[in-house]
Amino acid sequence: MNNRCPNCNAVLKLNSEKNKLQCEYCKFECEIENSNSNIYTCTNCRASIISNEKITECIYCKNKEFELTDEMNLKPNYILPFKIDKKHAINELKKINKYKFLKPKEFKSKNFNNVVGIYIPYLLCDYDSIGMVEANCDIVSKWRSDGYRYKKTDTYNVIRSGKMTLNNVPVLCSKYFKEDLYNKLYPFDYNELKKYDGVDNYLIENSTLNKEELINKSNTKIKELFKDEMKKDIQGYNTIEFTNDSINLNNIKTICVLIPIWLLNIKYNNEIYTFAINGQTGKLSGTIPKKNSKLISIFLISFILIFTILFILNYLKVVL
Amino acid sequence: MRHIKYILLVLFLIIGVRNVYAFDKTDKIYDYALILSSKEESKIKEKVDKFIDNYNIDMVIITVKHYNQDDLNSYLSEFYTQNEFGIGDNKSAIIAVISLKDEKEEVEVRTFGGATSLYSDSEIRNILNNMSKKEKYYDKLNEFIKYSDSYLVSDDTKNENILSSINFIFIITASLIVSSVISLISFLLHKTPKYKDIDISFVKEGTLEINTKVDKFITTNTKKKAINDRRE
Repeated sequence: MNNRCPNCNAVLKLNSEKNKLQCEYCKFECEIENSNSNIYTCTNCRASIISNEKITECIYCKNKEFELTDEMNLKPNYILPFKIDKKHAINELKKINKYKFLKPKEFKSKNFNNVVGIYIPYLLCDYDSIGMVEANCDIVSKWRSDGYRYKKTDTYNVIRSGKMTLNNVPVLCSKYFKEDLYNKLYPFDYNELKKYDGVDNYLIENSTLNKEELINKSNTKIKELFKDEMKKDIQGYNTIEFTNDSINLNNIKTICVLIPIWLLNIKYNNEIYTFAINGQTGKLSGTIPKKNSKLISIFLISFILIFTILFILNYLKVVL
Repeated sequence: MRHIKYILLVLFLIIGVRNVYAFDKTDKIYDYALILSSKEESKIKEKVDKFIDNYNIDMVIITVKHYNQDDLNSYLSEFYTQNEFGIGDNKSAIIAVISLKDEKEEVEVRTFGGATSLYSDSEIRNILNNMSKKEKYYDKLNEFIKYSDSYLVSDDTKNENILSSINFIFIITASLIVSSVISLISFLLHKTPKYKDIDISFVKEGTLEINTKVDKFITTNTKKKAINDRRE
C-alpha cells in the first residue's frame, strides 16, 4: 500500500470522517486501497492497531487521526482465541457499575458499549537460566534492659547460585497496554493456543517495540524472576539488599502470542481509566473513579428532602 | 306634694343605685367619670374586645369620680362580684379602675378568678408603673391593655418558641444524620471489588536447583538509647 503523498511525499493520514487518506501539507486526498486488513497508527500516541474494519478513534488516547501502514512489526505465531463475547464483556462491566452513585457521567453504562475486543501481543519466553546473586542481609533484634533500649544489627553477606528453567514468561510487546494487567487478568490457558492465520473480527495490536527492545526487556524480566526465586531461599533476615548478580540465559525459545482482551479506556479529568477483561475467563480489572461533587450533591439533596418532609409533618402536627 | 317628693326620692335612689351597677354584660368600658371621648372609648373597646377574644379572659375598665367603699380595692371587688364579670369556669378577669375621688387620681388594677395565677404581683406593679408614666387617661388605659396583653403573650410565646426551637433542632439533626448515612452508604457502595494479584510462578517444576548457599557474617552494630531520651 502506498501511503505517501504523490505530490510532496509526506505520510498520508487517515481522515476517519471522510474515510479518505489526506495529506496535511498539500491537502491531497485519495481513497483507501481495499485491503483485507489495514494497520492504523495513531498520529498522537503512535499506538498501532490492525483491523479489517475502519477504526474511527484510537483506543488508547481517543485521537481520531491515523496513518495507514502495511508493516507488521512482529508477526504472531499463535493466538489464544476469544471465549467471551462482547455481550458478556459489557455485562461484566455493568456489574461493577451497579450502585455506583458517585460515578462521573463518562462512566455511564451506555459508554460500555464502546468496549473493543483486541489481541495484545506478548512474547512467551522459555529460558534456561544459571547464575548467582549476592546480597547484604540484616538481622535486627531489639530489647530493653535497665532503662535502655537496645538495637542490634547483624549484617551478613549472602550468596545463592543455582539454575532453573522458566517457562511461558510473558513479555509485553506494547508500550500502551499496562504491564500489571497480565497478573491482574491471569490465568490464561495456553493449552488452547492456535496457530495464527490472520485477522478475524477482532483488533490486533501491532507490536510497538523493536527487536532489540524486546530482547532487552525479556532479559531484564528473566533476570528479575531469577533473583526473585533466589530471594525465596534467603530466609530469616529482616532486610535483603542485592549488591551483585551474574545470570546467564540459555536455550532461549520465544513465541509471539496474541492474548485476547476486552479493552475499554475512558478519559476523565485528563486521565485514562482502563478496564480490561480476560477474553478467556471474563476476569475483570478496572476501577470506577468517584466524583466528589456528586457525594456533596447527594448529601445536600437528601438533607433538603428529609428536612422538608419532617418540617411539613411537624407543621401538620403528625410528628413532634 | 310631700308624697310626690318621697316617691321621687325613692325613684331617684333606685335609679341612682341601679346606675352605679347598671351594666350591659357585653359592655366592658364604664366611663362614669367621663374622662374619655366617645372616639377614645370606642378605640379602647376595640382593644379590650380583642384581648378578650385572644385570651378568653374578661377585661373591664372603670373610671369613677366617687365611690362609697372604704378604698378603691373594695370598690373593685364589689364591682366584680355584683356584676358577675369573669369568663370561663374560673371566672377569669382583669379590671382596671381610675378614680378621681376628691380630685385625687388613683389607679388600681386587679385580677380575679383564674387570672390571678396568670399575672404575678410584680407584673401587676409593672402595669401600674407604666400607666402612671402617662399623663393622659386614654394613654394610661392603652398602657394597661398593652402590658396586660404582653405578659400573657410573652408567656405563651416563650413556651411556643422553646418548643419550636426544640422541634427545629430535632428536624435539623435528624436530617443531618439521615443524609450523612445516605452519603456514607453511597460512598461505601462505590468500592470496586479488587481481585487479588495471583503470585505466578514461571519456574518449570523440578528444575530449580540452588547449589551454593553462603551466609557469611560480616559485622554487628549495637545501638543503645535511654528510654526517657527523646533525642533521635
